[in-house]
Amino acid sequence: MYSLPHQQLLLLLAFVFVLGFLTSSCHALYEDQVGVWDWHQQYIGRVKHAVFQTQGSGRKRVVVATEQNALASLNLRTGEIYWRHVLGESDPIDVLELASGKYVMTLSGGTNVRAWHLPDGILIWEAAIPSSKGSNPPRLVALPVDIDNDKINDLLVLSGSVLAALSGQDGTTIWKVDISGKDVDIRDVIVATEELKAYGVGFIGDSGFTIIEIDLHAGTITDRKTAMTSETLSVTELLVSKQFAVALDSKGTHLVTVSINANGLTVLETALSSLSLNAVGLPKLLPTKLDGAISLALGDLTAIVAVDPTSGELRTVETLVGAVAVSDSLSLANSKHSVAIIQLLEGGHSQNTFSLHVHGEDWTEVVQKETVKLPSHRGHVQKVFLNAYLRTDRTHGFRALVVGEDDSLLLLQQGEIVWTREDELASIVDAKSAELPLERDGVSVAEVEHDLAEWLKGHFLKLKATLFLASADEIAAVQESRLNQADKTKLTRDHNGFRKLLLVLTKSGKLLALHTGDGRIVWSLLIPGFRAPHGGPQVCPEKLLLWQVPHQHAEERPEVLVLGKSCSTSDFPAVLSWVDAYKGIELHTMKLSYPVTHALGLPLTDSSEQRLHLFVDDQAQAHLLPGSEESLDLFLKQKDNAYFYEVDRTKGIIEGYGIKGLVESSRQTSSEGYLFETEKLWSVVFPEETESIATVATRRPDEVVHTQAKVLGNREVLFKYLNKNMIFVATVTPKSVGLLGAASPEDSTVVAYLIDTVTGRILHRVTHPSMQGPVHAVLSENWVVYHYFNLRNHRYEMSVLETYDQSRVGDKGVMQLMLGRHNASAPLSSYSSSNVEVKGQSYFFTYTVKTLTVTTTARGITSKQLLLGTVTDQVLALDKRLLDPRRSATPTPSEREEGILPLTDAIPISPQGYLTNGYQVEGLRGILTIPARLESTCLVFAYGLDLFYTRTAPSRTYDSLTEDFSYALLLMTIVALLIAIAVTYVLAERKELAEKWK
Amino acid sequence: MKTSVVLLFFVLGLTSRYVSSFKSDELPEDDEEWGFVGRETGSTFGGGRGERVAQGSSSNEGDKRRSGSTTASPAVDASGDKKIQFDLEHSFGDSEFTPAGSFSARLRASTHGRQTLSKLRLTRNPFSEFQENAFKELVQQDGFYKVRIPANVIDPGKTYVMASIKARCLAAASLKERFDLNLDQGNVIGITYSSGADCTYPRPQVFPSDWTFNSWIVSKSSEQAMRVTPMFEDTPLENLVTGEDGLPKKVVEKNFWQKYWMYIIPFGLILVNAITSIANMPEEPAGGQGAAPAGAVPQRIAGAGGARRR
Repeated sequence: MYSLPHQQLLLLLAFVFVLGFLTSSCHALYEDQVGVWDWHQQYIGRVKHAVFQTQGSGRKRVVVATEQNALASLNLRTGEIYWRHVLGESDPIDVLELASGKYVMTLSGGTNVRAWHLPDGILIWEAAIPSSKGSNPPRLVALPVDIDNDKINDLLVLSGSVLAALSGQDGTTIWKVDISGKDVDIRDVIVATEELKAYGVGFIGDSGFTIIEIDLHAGTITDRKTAMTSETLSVTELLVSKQFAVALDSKGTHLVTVSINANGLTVLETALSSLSLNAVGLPKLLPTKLDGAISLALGDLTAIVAVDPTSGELRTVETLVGAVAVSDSLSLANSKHSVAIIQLLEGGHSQNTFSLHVHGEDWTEVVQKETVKLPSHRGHVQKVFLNAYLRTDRTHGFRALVVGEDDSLLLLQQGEIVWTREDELASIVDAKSAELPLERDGVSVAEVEHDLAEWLKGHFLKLKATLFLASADEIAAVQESRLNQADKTKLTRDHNGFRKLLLVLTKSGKLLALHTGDGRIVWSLLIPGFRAPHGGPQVCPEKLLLWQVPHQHAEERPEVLVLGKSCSTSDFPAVLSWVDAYKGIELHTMKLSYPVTHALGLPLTDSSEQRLHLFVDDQAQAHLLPGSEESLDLFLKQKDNAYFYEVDRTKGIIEGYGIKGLVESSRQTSSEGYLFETEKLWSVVFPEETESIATVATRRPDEVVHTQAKVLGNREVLFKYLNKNMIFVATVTPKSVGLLGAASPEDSTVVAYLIDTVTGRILHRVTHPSMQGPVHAVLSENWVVYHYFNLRNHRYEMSVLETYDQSRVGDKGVMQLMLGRHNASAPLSSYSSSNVEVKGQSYFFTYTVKTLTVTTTARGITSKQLLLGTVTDQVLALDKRLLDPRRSATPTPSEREEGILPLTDAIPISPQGYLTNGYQVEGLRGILTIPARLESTCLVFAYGLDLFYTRTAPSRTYDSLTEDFSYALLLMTIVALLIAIAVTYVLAERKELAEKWK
Repeated sequence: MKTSVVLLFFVLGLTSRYVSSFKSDELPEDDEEWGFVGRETGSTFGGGRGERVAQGSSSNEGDKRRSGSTTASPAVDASGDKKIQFDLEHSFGDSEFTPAGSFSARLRASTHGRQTLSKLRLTRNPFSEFQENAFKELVQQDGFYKVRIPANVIDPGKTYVMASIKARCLAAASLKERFDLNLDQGNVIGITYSSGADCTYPRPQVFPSDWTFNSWIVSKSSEQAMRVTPMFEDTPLENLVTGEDGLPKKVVEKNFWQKYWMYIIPFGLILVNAITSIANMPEEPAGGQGAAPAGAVPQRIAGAGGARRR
């Protein structure tokens, strides 16, 4: 009877508890949230050296060195990375060698020898050899003997003309000998273990060979032998093996062989024609190491030529046509040689075939031959590394590591591809995002999503986990379901705009679409239009442009345009390729007749929503594409208001151009674009001796600004100066461009400019004395933030400049803004006189920065975060409020109300600000921010050698419930409340009745 | 290396409310620093307002004396400053650049070998008839009238700093022109060439009646970045704790109520409840049927049971 108030109280308590639970959303990331909406992928890049470690009982692995200066140990069974080290940009790995079975030796830049522990990749020692001048590739030989008696085999390093023996124990130099002499050019070193001798083999001038004998223990030159040739030699390549050396003559008609034997050198010249190699083109020796044979390329032909070690006579073993990759040979027991050859067979269906040829003694006949077909979408195979193993039936089996044209890495064994690594993703050139297709009627959502019972069950489990009632298995199940949400990886658009395609263009000319849900590759395309014929000029992909983004016609497919240029020369005509962004098919390709220096997307689209693009050539003429009448009409209307600018960093000049008339003759060749004459309108010249351009920052063309007015705490209004054509330029003193300490603080200055690119007007110019580059900058809305080094305080600094339009200052006050005559959206013209007020402030910052960008949201309402790529390859998010020039030491109450922070000397860094959590995006180069449809959220894609994707909400997710919101708890609370209401109703009725009966 | 470029569509301005001349809030300098040349009647334009020339007349005599040692062709005046002259060149649309006038300035050397240009004056050559026609043609075509000056004014080379304006803008402002020279020592980094009036699209086609230019020259040198250093007086560092969003926040000592309200309120509710139930307890017998005997209680229970049975 007296239970009623107690019940009410309990209910109240329960309600308070539930409310408290629902409102306590988390702000940082918890351990179990990792991987829910972020992903991280590790790559190594294009492999250039590989050594296999298959002996012993340990894990089978292959150690690779890549063009991105990464050294990695891969699991030979799965292709996973055991360990990986990324060396600096100026530290390319020239030689990779295994020593003593447990060390990986690398030689970088001819000077740095490093020993790494094979199982775990720990750096054991590092030694520097003083290199002598010489551009020849350095050599490193792991000796099979120990010369300093420390029971660890030692190393020989040839760098330039210096031959050094290093201790395998700690890398100390045991001896060093300069084997240069008059005209002597040593190319390679070979070791005769039994005699404890090393031989340096090289050229004398261009008309002879020399061999220098060195005692391995003492490091003294014991003998020099020379042999002169009658022909002048081509000194570009010398192939050296234990018993002979081969070079080409300068005319390219003869192969000159020198046999090395006990009584001296014997030279033999063999005409290429006598080897029945009559293809056109200059022959080239390939640096492939074949035991007792050489390989050479002759135009379209690749030949393997066996060399008789005693006489030096040559005999053609095989000739192969087309794009061929030949591996180093492996010597097997009973003097057999095996070599892997991968050949691209052109034809109706171009296909790579992998053939393995096992030759008998002295390359006589093919004893064994295996052929495997390879997928052709990986292009010409660039490199093959061969490895042999013993099968269960005691015969030899082979496996091969294959590097494709797209930089991918494959392992072949037993006639099939064991694994593939998409290592082209380590070298992303440009990245853009594309929307996924709309959900079709045919595909029911219910099929993918669970039924209600399962849904409730999932939420109940979640609830249990939240209340710490769940068992370990249940927690695991909850985590599993979070990570594998079915709707995360669907290939359709979602309501919040989180699911998108990331289109990435790689250096190898491959375009890939990654799904933002889990980072998997949706499609990939080795762009056919960019692929050079065998030996032809290479086309390097340069830029990805969004050609067609359908909004009105959702059934149409988005198209991207890929711009390619010659890798070597700048005046090579550009190549364009249009690719369907849903299917990954090249729609068409065009080889332009002009080189392209800049490609600009115009803010105009035609009726089919194709974006108009201007391509500026090296004559500063503009070509308009698409070449349709409609686009021409559209552009002619806007022609007078079209301007562009060019930055010439070498000369330190920025020039602005306007568009003049259409060149009528280009109407005939409109497929290549309508040609427009341009005229130079302005130029800004930075004084050569005091300023050189360090960085140019532009606004994102698709940036959305929510409001121009900024209401202050005292109800006054500041108007942002939002000039779409404003750029930020930072110049540094040319002397201080190099390393730190290159210039004294007195003559090192950073100058920041804000330039209007329509009129060339310098809106603001501010000098920072005693500062040094490199400068990183980001421009957004009406502000620019830049980062540089302070030489006086020996710290990094970040500065902010904000521009405000003072010409509108009369329209003060919120009421006037709302009711006044003045329209804040009145257009801004570069030709009207402007009165720009620039506010600036500098703060110290702890880190050096690799890249700098800013979050973008769909409507620009959410406050902004700066995203910094730190030197530790992480992405740090900094609130823009920290970089507010209006921060003051003691903010007034109205400023506090506005959210202005008290001024601090330095920008604080909070550990929760790292978007990458515990990950590192090795070799971080760029950060792409993509607005989601949900205003609060911004998608972030960071790329370098690794890829990382996450999403961030700079002002928290104010427009949606958090992921871990417990619907089950809410539902259960409601049900419990309803039951309680019913029960209390009944009880109350009874009590009332009882009262009446009294 | 040529890099990033953006195509610019500049917003069309339909209204031109700012017919008045440029207003600057900076300190007025003495008229000596300005050159208003062109109209014989003297300048009515701006009237001494303008941007400040950095290191104006503040450099001391010693610097001026030192400047005499630099070897340059220009004449050295009594104070040790040098007078230099450089050409202004112009072009009508596509035509070649031809001399349009000459700037004269005073070159002053300060410590650290820095040089400053001051007292910039422009003497405009009058338009020839041919040039007048060329200009009219430009107005008709809405073309650009371009000007350029050498990037290095002390030792003019082949690089020029260039700027241009729609001829119609200049005509509409009856040839009032304004040069903003961004100077860095003896170098001109950029010129902003503008007309006296606002000139937004669409531009009316007006021809100038009087072919004399009314020039206004403003020289701007770079300003140094300001750095406000905060003072930590009454906010000792140990009280600054980094908040969840990475912003420093002050730890404010909570009072008793702020700390324990969540315990006090439920406790209070329980207390209130207990008190009411205690208060109800003695009322119960009284509130029933007066001072009923103990035997009445089973009766009531039976009554209640009866109700339940119904």
